[in-house]
Amino acid sequence: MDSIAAYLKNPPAGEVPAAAPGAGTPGARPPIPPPPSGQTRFYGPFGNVFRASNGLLAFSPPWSSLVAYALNEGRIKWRRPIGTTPGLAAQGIKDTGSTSFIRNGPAATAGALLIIASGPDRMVHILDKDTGQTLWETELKANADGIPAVYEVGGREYIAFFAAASGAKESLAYTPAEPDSQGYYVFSIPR
Amino acid sequence: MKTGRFTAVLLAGAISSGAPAPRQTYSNWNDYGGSSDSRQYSALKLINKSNVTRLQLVWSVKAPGPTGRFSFNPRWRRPRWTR
Repeated sequence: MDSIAAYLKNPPAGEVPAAAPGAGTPGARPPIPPPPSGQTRFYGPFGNVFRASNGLLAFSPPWSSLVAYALNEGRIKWRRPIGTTPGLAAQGIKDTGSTSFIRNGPAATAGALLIIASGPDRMVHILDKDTGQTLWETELKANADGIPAVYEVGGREYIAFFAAASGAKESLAYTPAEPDSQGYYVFSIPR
Repeated sequence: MKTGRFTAVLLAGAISSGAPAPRQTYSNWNDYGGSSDSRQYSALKLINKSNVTRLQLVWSVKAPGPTGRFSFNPRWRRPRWTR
């Protein structure tokens, strides 16, 4: 109580002194040196990346990649862009990967397939698990979200995707869902 | 009362850790990520490199609802009449 009263009488006296460079409190970041002369330092909000005025990322693609690691050998087996930037793909630039928020994970199968969607361009892809090459792909009416499910009924294998209609607007990076298209999309091989 | 509840929790923990882990077959998609270990793996190979190009949409079902929600992962459940 006495300490609080003393602080209220003279708040500046209660301030923590500025840490000397190199010392500071444990875990505190060292002070950031000023930028070199002639350069401007920019700061972005936490969890975001810099985007150019057209909404694309302000660094070179690929902006989304799928990477296969050979863990027993300690090396990268293959690496490829995943998804496209629809506005660039329409101009023939298809190797950028998705630049919008991509929230899709893969499922691997004993059929040597890797099944993954890319929501922002509404595509689903089936890749060769050994090379990462696309074996088959198709476009949904909505933006696939999450991980596909692989199941079997009556001797047939099925692949199910959930696809959302988020209401996000069309942009270079994003193809919105068709109206009334949110739901489950299930693929198999016809008998 | 408090002690009794604590004991019960410990006991449940001991029973579950002593039981053998259920054998995974990865033949269906019973949990988030496919199996109780969420391995995102299926042992199915009816669809493979030899026939994957013949895939077609066989059914779909609308699931209207709030937009922008996180929809997670579909789960397979054995039909009631086969259980």
